[in-house]
Amino acid sequence: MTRPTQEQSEQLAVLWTQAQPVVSAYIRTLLPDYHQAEEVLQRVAVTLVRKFEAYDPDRAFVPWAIGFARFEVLRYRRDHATDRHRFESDIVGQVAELYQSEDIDFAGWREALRSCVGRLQGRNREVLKLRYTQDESPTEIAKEMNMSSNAVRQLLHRVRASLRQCIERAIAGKGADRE
Amino acid sequence: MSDAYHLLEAYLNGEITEADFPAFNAWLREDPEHLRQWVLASFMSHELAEALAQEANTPEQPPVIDQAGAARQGVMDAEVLSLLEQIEAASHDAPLREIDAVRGKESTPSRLRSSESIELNAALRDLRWAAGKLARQWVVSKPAYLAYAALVALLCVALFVDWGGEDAGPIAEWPPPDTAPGVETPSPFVLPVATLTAEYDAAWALQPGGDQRPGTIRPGAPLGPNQRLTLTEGFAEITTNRGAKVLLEAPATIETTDSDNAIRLHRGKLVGKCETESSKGFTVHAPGMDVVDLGTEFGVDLPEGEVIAVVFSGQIKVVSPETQEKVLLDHGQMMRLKADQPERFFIEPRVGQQFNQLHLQFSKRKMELPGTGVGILEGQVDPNWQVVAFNGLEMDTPQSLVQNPLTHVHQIITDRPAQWITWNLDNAGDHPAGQAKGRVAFTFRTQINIPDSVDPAYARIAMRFAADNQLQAMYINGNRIVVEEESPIDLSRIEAPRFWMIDDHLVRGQNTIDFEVVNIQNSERFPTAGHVALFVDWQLIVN
Repeated sequence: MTRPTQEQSEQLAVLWTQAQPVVSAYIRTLLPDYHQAEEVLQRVAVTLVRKFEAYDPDRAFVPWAIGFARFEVLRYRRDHATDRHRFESDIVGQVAELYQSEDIDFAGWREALRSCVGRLQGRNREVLKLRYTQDESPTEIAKEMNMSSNAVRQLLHRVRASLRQCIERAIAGKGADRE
Repeated sequence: MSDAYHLLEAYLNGEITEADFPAFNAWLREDPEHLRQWVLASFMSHELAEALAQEANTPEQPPVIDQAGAARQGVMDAEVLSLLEQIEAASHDAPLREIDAVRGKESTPSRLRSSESIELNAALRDLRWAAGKLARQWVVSKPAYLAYAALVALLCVALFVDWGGEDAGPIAEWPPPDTAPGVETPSPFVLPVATLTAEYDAAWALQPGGDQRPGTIRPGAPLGPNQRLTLTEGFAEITTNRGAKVLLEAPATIETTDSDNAIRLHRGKLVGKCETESSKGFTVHAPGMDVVDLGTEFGVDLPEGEVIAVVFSGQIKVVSPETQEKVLLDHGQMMRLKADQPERFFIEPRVGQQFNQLHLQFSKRKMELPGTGVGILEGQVDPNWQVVAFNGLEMDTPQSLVQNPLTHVHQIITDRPAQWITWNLDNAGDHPAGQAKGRVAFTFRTQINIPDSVDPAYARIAMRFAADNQLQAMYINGNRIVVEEESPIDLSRIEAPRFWMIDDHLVRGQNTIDFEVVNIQNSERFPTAGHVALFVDWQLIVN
């Protein structure tokens, strides 16, 4: 194996910058723990550097990278065999195939989500912040917001559904705007 | 909605327990849509965490939008605004169904007067684009530091990687074939009813009136209702929103309908496959005949002046759209409609041969195959493989393979069905680890299923295989294969496996294949006994 050329390194850097959010999202789906996911992501980066000579630039980079991420997730699970594996191996593969199929426009979803989140206010925003930045459970959120736990769960469900609807409309609107 | 849907909510809320995960895994497997929902929901959660964290950390906050003002200015989609306001107002213990019912009743926002709505819709179109442009600028600039960090990290890795003298070799046939997303989408105000999910050497006709143009229909392209497609070459697969798959062979012309569980066949032939619960009742409208699927695989062919419906498995219902007369057809039966003279035959499977090429083309991609490690937990028995002989002597009782952690490292990156089977000498019973010396050979046995619709006389099983680092010889169904000796165990080498073809003695249904893997254990170079391992990936080829 030879060291990548300067041109190859630059090309890989550009491709990885674009692919990293999707690869990270794939890994986080299967390894919700932040530190575990970061460790696997770094391993994927190392592997991509080593294997980049074999990459065919006529083919999509993200599916190629997801393939290595799939292997690294499975290897991580093997190395931590004492840990309980919540998702079974075939699920790991199926999720990889979904990411590789490029059936979902993750970049579009990401962009649209950030736009939609920016529009949230009041209790909707507050409950999301407590859940997703403080990692609080509905029971803990309920105490802070003086609501019942069940009300918090229903609110989270509705806000997530509303965000998803906003995202889908934004993506559909972007498609119309291109015509 | 499945009963296990609440598990998804529990997962997203961080409330799922360890005991729930088997049921959650089963729910994910139950329907591809469940997996998709979970992946999207997880993705949203991940992105929400990042987005909200960045908002808290960056001094420059996105503008706070006055919702009422935004509605008048048309910056926000008025319907989404209305929904958010309703949620805000109703965020107490009201049951979910009441909110959903309210949402369903509101087709236009109640806060807008009718005289404003026309002007608002026009303003919405312009301002949505502008808002989107602003949002895109914001999104591009905001995570720039993350991108730079990733770039720096990657370059640092490149500097410190040990390059050594090892030749990794190319990875054969990876990545999988390109499936670029479709570039043509239906109007965003019309929901698609199906998707073009695959094509093989396909070409599409230029239609008068421009329903489609060459090169614009690509895998991943959504298909709207009443969209007409003509396939002039090759094969294509269309999947309805309900999960029914339609396999087309050129030349063929089909048309989607208003329903997401029906299509119209104008010319050519198709095979319909309904593998999901929600796709039952999938209907193919043909001239003079409607074919309704009842959970099966069937074919519809329109040769000159005829309509033929064939059932490969399960049942279909054939309905006359004029008289509403219904006929139920079972596996192996065929209905032929010719000039208003329907006939009904009991047929041999061979009579459905006109669909063979269609089946075969798709069988190449999706061959029914046992899969070690797929869905089998550590410590569980793999029912697809057995160990039937040791050092050439048949065992009185075949041994089951037990999934062990070593197999995880051997999930090969390949787009073909593949397995990696390991037989750990610790499981060897009478041949415990450390005691087996010299030549050690285990025979792994599995079975390959050739579908009924495939004529075995024209079929071959092509495989790639490799074994672990102490390999001396391989025999497949008694035929010796020349292999590299003592190739180091390294995933980067697995792309240089041996190729083999089985093209004789194949039958419809189950075909037994034995792999005898001969290793050198406790040799001078490899002094410790370990495991005997085999990797195989498969492809069905038909002439």
